[in-house]
Amino acid sequence: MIPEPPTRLLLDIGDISISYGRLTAVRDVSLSVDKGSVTVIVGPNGAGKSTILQAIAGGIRPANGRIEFDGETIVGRRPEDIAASGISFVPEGRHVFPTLTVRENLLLASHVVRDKSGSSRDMERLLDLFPRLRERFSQSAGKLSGGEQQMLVIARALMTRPRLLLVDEPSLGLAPKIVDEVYQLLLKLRQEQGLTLLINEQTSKRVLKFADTVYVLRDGSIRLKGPAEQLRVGTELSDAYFGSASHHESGTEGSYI
Amino acid sequence: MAYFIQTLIDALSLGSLYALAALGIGLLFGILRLINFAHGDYITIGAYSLIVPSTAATTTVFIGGWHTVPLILAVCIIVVAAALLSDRFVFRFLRRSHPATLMVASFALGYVIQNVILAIYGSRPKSIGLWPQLSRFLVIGEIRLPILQLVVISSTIILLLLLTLFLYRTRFGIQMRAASDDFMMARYLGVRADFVIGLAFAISGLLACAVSLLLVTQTGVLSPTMGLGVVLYAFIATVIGGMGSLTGSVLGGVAVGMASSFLQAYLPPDARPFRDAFLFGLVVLLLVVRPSGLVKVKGIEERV
Repeated sequence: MIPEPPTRLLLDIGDISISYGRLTAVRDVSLSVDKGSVTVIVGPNGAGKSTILQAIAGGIRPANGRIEFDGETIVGRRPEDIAASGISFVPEGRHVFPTLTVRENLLLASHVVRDKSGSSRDMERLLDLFPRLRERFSQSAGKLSGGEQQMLVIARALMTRPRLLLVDEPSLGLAPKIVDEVYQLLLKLRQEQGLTLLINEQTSKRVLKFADTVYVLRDGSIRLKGPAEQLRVGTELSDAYFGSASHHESGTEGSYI
Repeated sequence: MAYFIQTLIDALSLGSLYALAALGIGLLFGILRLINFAHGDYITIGAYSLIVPSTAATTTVFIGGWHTVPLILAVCIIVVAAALLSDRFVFRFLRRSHPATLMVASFALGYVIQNVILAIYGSRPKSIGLWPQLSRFLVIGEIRLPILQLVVISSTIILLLLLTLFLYRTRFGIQMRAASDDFMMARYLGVRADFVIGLAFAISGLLACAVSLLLVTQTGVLSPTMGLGVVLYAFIATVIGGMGSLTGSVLGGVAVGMASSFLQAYLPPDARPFRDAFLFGLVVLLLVVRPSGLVKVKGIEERV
């Protein structure tokens, strides 16, 4: 094998298309995530955001295109193998295991890590980070509030010691105050542990504050890609999001795809 | 009073068998959404493994003549193998299928097993006396308790305790419960799908093996369709217990067994031939009052 040049690229998606039956949900999407960065996909409901994350996590198989994680292709791998290779996926809708206790939810996720004492240290650290989960440690996860469940699914995803964390719409159905808490936590994790994040959101206002790179997805295609700081100003982002005709004029910020 | 206590032990013993069979079905339903009607045929396989394969009219004992421990081990291995093979060669190809498809496939598999047994052993029912030492009675005053029924009840309790310990105290038990709550999410967290499903089939096979041995000891008769009756009641037990809840399966099994025995004992003699009509009437009544069964399963409802 030819030695590859050192790269900062952790996830590299090239031209994937995904269909449900005859319906094409995602068309020729290319996307890349650098190590230690926060990448956000924004787009309206039904744009195909969740489908992309599911494809990365192995839940759906793309019709074509490539997905490479840390230089290895992961298309066609089983979800459990992708999880073991270091990608943790938090699907939308807070999928806690309702009949398991908070402790068991966390414990289960640590099984992928073959380091028992390390895992119990992980759990302690996460409980420090999420004190509310410590209070609810022995309760069934189904009895937690929506915000607590969202904390639990994120903490649980972290128990697998991911190198890449995929989070699908963490703010969906949560009160704004709780959403702030969730995002502060995610940011903290990124700063302290160098965690790489790929997040889906419907609204861009909040995510622009801390994302490094933003992709705008509409009708299954990427409409805009750019560094978040550039997209914060101007109408470019909302044009791409809503599909307004008033673009193409300046073309200096971000790059159209 | 003596009659009541004897009926109660009778009822608990029958309920235990139904509970074990219902658990075997409930376990697979929880994880695969498969209602496995071939479960009854695992029971039949276990029973027939006790005798030498032959269509002759006289029965020759094979594994059934071994000592207790190797006998139980051998039958368990055979039944567990049957369960695992049915996953490997039938259900594995239907992982993404609708639950109705899975159920129909299990019917088909059941018929195949019954006909293979028919071809090898013939259609004549066979008789076998397994563990005759258990068919004695424990006499307390005027109450005569069959030792066998006490054995059935206590082995069921032991199996339930072991299964509970496994599900709540071990790593794979937690994985199975998680998979039962949300299979795809469990996979996203690294739970190996085929392994957990295989484990569920294996445990389901172990439970079928237990039912098989206890049933044969009790009735002494083998027939290619012997498992069907048990599995029908067990299925009803899982439904009234609440599909997807293991506690519900056990409660449902005990309830069906109790109702059946008590109806048999206390209905007027003229009505006894219609016992099952009364039993199913009660089942319908229960489902009208509590459509989701005795134990409501949170995981199956959609949460907003």
